[in-house]
Amino acid sequence: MTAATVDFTALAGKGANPANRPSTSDIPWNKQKTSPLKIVGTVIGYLGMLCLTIFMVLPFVWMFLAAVKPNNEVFMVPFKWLPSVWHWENYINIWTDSNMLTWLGNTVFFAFCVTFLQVFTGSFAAYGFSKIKFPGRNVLFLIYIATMAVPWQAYMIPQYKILSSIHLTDTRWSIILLQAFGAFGVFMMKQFYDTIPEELSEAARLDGLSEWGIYRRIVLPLSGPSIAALGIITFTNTWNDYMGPLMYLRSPSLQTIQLGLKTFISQNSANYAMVMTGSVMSVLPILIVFLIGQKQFVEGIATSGMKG
Amino acid sequence: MKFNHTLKAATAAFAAVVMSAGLAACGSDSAGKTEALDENAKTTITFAGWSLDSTPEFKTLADAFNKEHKNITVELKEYSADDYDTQLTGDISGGSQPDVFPIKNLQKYKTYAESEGLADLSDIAAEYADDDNIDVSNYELDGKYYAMPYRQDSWVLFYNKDMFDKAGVAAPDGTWTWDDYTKAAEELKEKLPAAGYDANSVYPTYQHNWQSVVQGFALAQTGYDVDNTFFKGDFSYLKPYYERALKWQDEGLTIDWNTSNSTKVQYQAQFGTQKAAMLPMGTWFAATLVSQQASGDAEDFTWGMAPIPQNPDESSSDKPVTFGDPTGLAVSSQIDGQKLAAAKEFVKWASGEGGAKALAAIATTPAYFSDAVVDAYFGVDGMASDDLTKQAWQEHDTKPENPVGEGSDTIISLLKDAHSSIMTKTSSIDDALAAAKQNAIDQGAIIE
Amino acid sequence: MSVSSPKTKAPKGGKLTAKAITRRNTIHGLGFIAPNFIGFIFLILVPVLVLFYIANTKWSAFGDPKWTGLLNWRRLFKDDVFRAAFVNTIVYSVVHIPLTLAIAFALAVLLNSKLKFRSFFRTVAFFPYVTSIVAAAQVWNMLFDAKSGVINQFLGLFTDNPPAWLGSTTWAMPAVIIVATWREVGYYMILLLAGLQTIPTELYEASSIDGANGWKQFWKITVPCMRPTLFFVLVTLTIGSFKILDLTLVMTNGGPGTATLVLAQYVYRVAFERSDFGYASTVSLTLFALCMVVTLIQFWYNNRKEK
Repeated sequence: MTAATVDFTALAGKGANPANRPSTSDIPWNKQKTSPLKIVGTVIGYLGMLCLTIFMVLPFVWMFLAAVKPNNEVFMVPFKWLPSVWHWENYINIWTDSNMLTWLGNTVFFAFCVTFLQVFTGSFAAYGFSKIKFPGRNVLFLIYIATMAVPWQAYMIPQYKILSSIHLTDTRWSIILLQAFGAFGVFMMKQFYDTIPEELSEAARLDGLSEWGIYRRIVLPLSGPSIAALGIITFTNTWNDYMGPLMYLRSPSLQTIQLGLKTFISQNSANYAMVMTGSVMSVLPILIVFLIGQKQFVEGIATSGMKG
Repeated sequence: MKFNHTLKAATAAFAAVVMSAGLAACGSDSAGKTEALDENAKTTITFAGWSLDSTPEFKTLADAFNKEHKNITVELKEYSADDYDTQLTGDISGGSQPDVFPIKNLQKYKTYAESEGLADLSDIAAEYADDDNIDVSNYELDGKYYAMPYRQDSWVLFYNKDMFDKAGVAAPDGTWTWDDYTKAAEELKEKLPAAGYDANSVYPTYQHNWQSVVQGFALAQTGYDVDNTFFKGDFSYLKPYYERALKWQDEGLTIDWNTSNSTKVQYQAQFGTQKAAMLPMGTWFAATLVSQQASGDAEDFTWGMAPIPQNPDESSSDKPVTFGDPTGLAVSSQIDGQKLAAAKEFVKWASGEGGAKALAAIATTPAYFSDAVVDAYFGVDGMASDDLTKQAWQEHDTKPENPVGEGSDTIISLLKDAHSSIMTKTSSIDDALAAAKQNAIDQGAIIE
Repeated sequence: MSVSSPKTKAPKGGKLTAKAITRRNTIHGLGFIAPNFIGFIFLILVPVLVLFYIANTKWSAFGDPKWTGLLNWRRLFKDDVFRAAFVNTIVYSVVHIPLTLAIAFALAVLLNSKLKFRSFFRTVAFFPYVTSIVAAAQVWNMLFDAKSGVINQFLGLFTDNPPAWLGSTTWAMPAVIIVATWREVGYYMILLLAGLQTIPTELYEASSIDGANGWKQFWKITVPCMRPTLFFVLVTLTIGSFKILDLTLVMTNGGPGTATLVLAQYVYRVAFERSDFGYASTVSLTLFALCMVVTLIQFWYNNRKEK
C-alpha cells in the first residue's frame, strides 16, 4: 500500500504524553494559518463537493420526482424532470394499495435481529482473532475469508437443503440465521481491533484483567465507530437483500420490503409512478439508521485516557 | 493442530448430514398409488401462484374448484413472477414444494419431471386420450405424464383498429406474411403522423426484446425439424427472420432493441397507450389489455387479434403456424393418501372443461377448447369479438417455444447471447450464429 | 462453549509455562470465536465444502449428484463464454478496484476533517448505496441512452460521434464500471471513515509539533495506522468486484452479446437457467480460486509490511 513505514509504538508513546496536546484540531490542513490561497481552495473544494452531491443524488431525485408524476410521464422521451401535475397522493395511496406496513415491519425486524447478531458475534469472534494468540488462529481466520470468495448463487441450494432439513424454510429464523453469521463482520471487526495498540490489552492483562474484562472495558468502548459502520452496513444489506428472502420466504405475512416491491412492480408494471413511490419509501428507514449511526463518527478517539 | 483435526471431523459429520438430507428429500415415487378421493373428508391442498393480486387465474381456479368440492380447500401460496423457477428449484430440491404448482414452460418441465419431485399423472392423461378438445402430448415423457396443461397460450398479432382506420391503412386480414406485415408497417410509418400521432414516440409496431420474438417464429415456421436444425447447431433458419427484424429496426418501424432492452420498455404500456399500432404477443396479453382498459391504465381504443404473419418464403400448412408453450399443473410427490387424491382431482378439474370455463371467463386462454369455453372467452366484457379475432384465437398450429431435449437449455442460452449481439449489431448475423454453434459444440450441448 | 468461559480468572502473567499459556489462550480464543463459528460452520462452511464435491458431478439440484470426474473441468477449458466472462471480470476488477479505493479514501479523509456540513456530505455519499438498484439502473440507463441520453447530449457538444454505451461492446463495460463506482464509493468510504476514527489524535498533534505538514502526515501517520482497515477494504473490494452480479444483471443482463457477462452471472445462468449445478459449481470454484490467489497475495504483502 505504501512505502512509508512508521514505528507505530514510538508514535503512540509520544502521543500518549498529555503535555503534547496543544490544540483541539485533529486533522492536518486545519492547522495552517488562513491564506488567500486557502480560501480559494476552500471555495473550490465546496463547489466540487456540491457537484459531487448532485452527481450522487441525481438518480434518487429522479426517483422522487417520478413518484409524483402522472404515470405516462415517467419514461417519456424526450426526458423531462418535472411533472406536469404533482401527484402527492401517491404517497398516501401506496399504504392502501400494498401491504407496505407488513413489509416494513418484517424488514425492520429482520434488519435489527441480523444487525444485532452480526455485530455481537462478529465483534466477539474478532476479539478472539485479533487479541488472543492461539495455534491455528490464522488458518481458522483464512477459512473465514475464503468463504467470502465463493459466490452465494453456487451454494445457495445446498444451504437451502440444510435449513429445509431442519424445517426452517419459510420462517423468520431462516433469514436471521442466513445473514447473521457471515464472515464479513468478523473480518471487519478484527481489522479494526488490530488498529488498537497491543500495549493496551497487554497492560491490562498484566494488571490481572480477564480476557472478557479486556474486551468489555477496553476494546468495546473503543470500537464505537467500527460497530456503527458494521451496523449501518449490515442493516443496509439486510434491508436491500432480495435473493435471500426470495429463496426462503413464501408466506405473504413474512414478505420483506424488497420482495414486496418486486411483486408490486410485476403487478403494477404499467404503474411506474407507484413503483417509484414504493422505492422512495423503502429508502427512508435506512437513511434514518444511517443518520443515527454516523453520529458515532463525529468524535475521534483518545486512547490515552484508557491507559490511565 | 489438534483443532484442525476436530474441525475436519466435524465438517465431515455435517457434510454427511447434508447429503443424507439431500437423499431423504428425493422422496418416494408415488406412481401407482391411486387413492380414492373421499369427498366428505376435510382436506386442504396448497397451490402456488404468482402476482396473486393482478393475476386472478389462481384464485379463480381455487374458488371455482371449492364450489364443486366443498370439503377441499385450495390454499394459495404467493411466489415471485420473475423468479418463480429459482424458488421452485429450491422447493423441490429441499422437498418442500407446494402440493400443486404451475410449470411455466416445457423446458423446465423436463428438468422438474426428472427430479422425482413430481407425482405421476398418467391416469389423468389416459382419460384425455380420446378428447379432441385438449392436447396433452407435450407432457409425455417416456410414456408417463407428470403435468397436465391448464393454459395454452399462443402468439398472435395484436393490432389497434383505430390507428389503422385513422391512418387509412388496410388492417390485417388473416392472410398476412411477414412481408405484408413489413409493408403495412412502412405504410403506417408514413401515414400515422398525418393522422395526428406524434412522429417521435408512436411507432407502427412494437417488437419486444425477448429472443422468442424472433427465434420462436423462425423455429415454428421454417419446418419444425429440430433434430436437423436446432440440435445440429444449424441455425441458418434464423437468418431471414433476423434480416427482417434488423430492417424493421433500421427503418424505425419499432423502437430499437437496445433502447427497449436497456430502458426496460413495457410492451403492455407501448400497445395500451397507443404508442404502437401492432404487437406480436402471446394471447395472455388479451386479459391484461381488457383489465387495463377497464381500469384506465390503458387508453380506450378498438383492438383485435389477427393470426401471426406467416413465412413468405415457404408455403405453410392450412392453419397459421405459431408458437407457445402450454402452462402445466404438477402435483408434488411428497404427498399421499387423501391429499394426493384431492390434488390430482384439482389438476384434473383445472385442465378439463370446468377449469377452462372458469379461466375463459376471466379472459385467460385455457388448454381445453370446447364450444362452451369459446363462448365464455368471447363473452368477457371488453374482449374483442370480431371473426378474425375468434379465428386467430382458435385456429392455429402451435409449436413449443423451444425444442425439449438434452442440451437445449445450453443452446437456448447461447442463442440468447446471439440475439443481443445481432440486435445491437455488435456482430453480424452469420458470425453470431456461427459462434453460437461453436460454443454449443465446445460445451457438449451438440454432438457432431 | 459458553460466553463465560473467558471469565475464568486469568493467572498473573509470567509465572506460567509457555505450554500453559498456549492452552489458556486456545480456550479463551475459541470461547470468543464460538458463538459466531458454530453458526458459521453449519450455515456457510458446510455448504461451501459441499460445493467442492458438486463441482465434479452432474447435478440438476435434485436427487443425487452423479460423479463425472474431470469432465466439467475439461468443458471449462473449451468454454468460450466462460473465457469471455473471466476476461470481463478481470477487466472490471482491474479498473474498478483502484478507482473506487482512491475516490473512497479521498472522500473519507475529506469527510473526516472539520468540514462544514460534513454529516450532510457523508449522507450524500452513502446515498447511492441505499438507492434501490433497480431504480438506479433505470436512471443510469436512461442517462446513457445513445440518442436521447443526457450524457450523449452533453458529449455531443465536443464530438460528433459519442459512444453508444450500453449498445456497444466496447463501451458497455466502462458504463457499468462508472455506475458501480458511483454506487460503491460511499460504502467503502464508511468503512474507511470508521478506520480513520480509530487513529489516535495524539499522533497528529505530536507530529505537527515536530513540524510535519499535511501531506507528510498523511503518508507517515494516516496510511500506516490505516493499514489493517485498508487491508480489509482492499480484500472486500477485491472479492466484491470479482463477485459482481446484481448491477450487470439489472443494467445490461450481460449484453450486448457477452460484453458485460461476468463470472458470477455466468454461475447464476448455468445453475438456474440451465439447471446445471455441477458445472455452475465448477465455474464458481474458478471464481473462488481467482479471489483466493489475489487475497493471499494481499495477505502475504500485508504480513510482510507489518513485520
